[in-house]
Amino acid sequence: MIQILLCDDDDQIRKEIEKQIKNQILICQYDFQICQSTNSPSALLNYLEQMKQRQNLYFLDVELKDPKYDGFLLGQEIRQADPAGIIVYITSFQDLAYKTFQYHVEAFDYIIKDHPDKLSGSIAKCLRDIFDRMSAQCASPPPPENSQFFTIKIGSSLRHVPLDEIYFFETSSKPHHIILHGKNQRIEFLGSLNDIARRLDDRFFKIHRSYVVALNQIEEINLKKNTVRAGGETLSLSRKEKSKLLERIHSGNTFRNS
Amino acid sequence: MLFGLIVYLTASFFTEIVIHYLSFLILDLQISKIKLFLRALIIDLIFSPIIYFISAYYQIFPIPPGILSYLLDMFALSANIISVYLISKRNFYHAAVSTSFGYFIYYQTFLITLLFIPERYKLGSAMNQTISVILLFLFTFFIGKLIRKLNPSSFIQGCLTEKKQQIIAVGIGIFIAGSSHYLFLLSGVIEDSNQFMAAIGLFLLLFFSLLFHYITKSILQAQTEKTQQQMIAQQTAYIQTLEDIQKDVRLYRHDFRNMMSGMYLDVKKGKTDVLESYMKQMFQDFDENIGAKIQLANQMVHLEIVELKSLLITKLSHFHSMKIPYHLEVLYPVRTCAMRTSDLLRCIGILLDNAAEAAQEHSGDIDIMITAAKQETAFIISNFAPQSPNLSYIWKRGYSTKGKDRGLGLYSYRQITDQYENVTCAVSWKNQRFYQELRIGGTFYDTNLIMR
Repeated sequence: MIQILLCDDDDQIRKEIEKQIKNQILICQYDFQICQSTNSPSALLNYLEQMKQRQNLYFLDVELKDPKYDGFLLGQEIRQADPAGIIVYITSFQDLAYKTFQYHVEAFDYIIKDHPDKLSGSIAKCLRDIFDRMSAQCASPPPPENSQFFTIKIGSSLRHVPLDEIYFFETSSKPHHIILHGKNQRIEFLGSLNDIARRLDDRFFKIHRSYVVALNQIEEINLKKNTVRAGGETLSLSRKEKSKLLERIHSGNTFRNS
Repeated sequence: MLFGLIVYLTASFFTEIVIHYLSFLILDLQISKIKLFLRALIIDLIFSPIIYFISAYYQIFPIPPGILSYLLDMFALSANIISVYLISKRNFYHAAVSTSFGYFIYYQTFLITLLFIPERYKLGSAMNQTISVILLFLFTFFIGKLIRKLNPSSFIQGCLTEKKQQIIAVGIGIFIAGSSHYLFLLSGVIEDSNQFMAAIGLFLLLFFSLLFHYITKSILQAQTEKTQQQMIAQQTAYIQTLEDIQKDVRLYRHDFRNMMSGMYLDVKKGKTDVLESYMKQMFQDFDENIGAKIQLANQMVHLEIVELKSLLITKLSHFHSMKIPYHLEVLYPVRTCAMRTSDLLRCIGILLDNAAEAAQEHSGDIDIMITAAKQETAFIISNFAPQSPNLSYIWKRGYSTKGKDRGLGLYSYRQITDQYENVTCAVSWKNQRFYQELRIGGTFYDTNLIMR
């Protein structure tokens, strides 16, 4: 049973949201339950501490007017207490201010509270998305640390990139930095290629002092020119690692035939 | 003969160290001492014997000795330029200019040391060279400190933005490097008196220092004036926006009162249906007109970096005239940024221009988020993009979807961000939106953070 916690200091809106969520739970038979609905952030945090259960679902108002916690701080506290929890922000259409939260707190989604007739629709969609995401996570057994994701520390925030979406890592033109080349993204972060190769398992291989490649993303290996093609780019292959790479591929059968 | 060669090689090894040291100082590039010595040694062993032999046997050549010695110095200068360029791997013109200046400073300092040499200067004399080298090191140490204080590197880089400027700068550098020779030739004296040569060295050093100082001062002044005028223009635009809002508020207050009295009557008469649709319309009108402006001003107020605010106002009004919808989110005050303001403005400008082009092409919108929290300042600029651009080449020079001579914007962007250890970039494409992310760690700008 997934626990839902709500916090919004506008009681009317909060009651309306509660009502809509309860409706959706009933209609779609979700295994969710609203365990806390309050207008005080401190109350919610106390409840959460006593609650012990984690990986909960939180609906938080962006514009909390509490002196101690605004929406952002509340989100940060919750994120710290419940790293795997799902946070949904309640914002008003006029401001549509939520990207800051998404960036710092890794919020999952937002719902707009202005127009009551649209509220039910957005809550319905939001809960459906959450349900889909949770089912996907349960389909495979809960992953041990670092098995499904590569975690990058960017400043003070953490970003999780699914391993399947990583093509390769490359040393950046900026010293001590690495660029992650992934599906539809390029992220630069502080790190060393050796550390990364150590952190990752056999699915990745260091083919050159500047590249660590995901073996299942290799499209082509050119032995004459000593290059490897992955993620649409051509990477240099060091002569030292050439034979080891071929060995790894033949033994592991991870080479993608295309 | 051999003894003379060895003495010369040893001495010129030290002078190569000095030249390289000065060049890298002007270039503002950190280099390990070992690498420095190694480099100097290589250049020394390759080029100095050639120079020594030609100098020793100058009678063979049909060229007058004054011109020969000038050519030899230019030869040495070229060797040093190539060496510095190969190590720095950067803009060739930048390296050439820095090396020429470094060579010039070295040469004049060397001439000054001649003041302290008791006898007439001889190429292969161990005594000469020893005194010369020791004094050279001493003077270079102090000059090095001075150069560090002046920080010429950023200035030089600033002047080298155009190709034409680059070529002129290198020309001037090479001319200056050989300046002592011109004076020798003009005065008809060929390395006769030590005091005379030292005097020339001192004179040239002082002359060019003053000249350089004057030029930099006037250029900097012109630049400051220009930026100040820009700031004034942008702040006027900001004040204009605020005054527009004030005007709208005044008008709206008037309309609002009329609407309210109309609604009051409807309520009294029990016409709730009419009321409902009326209020809906009011919501919309408010949002579309003054609501949006107030919202924007609310966000702008949190941008406490004045230049940044000005830049955004200018860009946003461009978007407005290009009919590109935009949205700005700045929820928390942004007071400082751990990056040189001029660099920050250039980077954000490039990202915004790119987003604008894309938005115009696909009739999309632009979204800007700026957050300063948790010891960092982050910018996320996104635009509507039906397909993902090819992220593999997006940071490489010359890549552009828009035509042959484009693609330099994001490359310059990368060049700037690469200079900062605490700045990272990320791009991504998701749900038909293209995101550019710029993250600046730290809360305030400190010169130690720059690596080059």
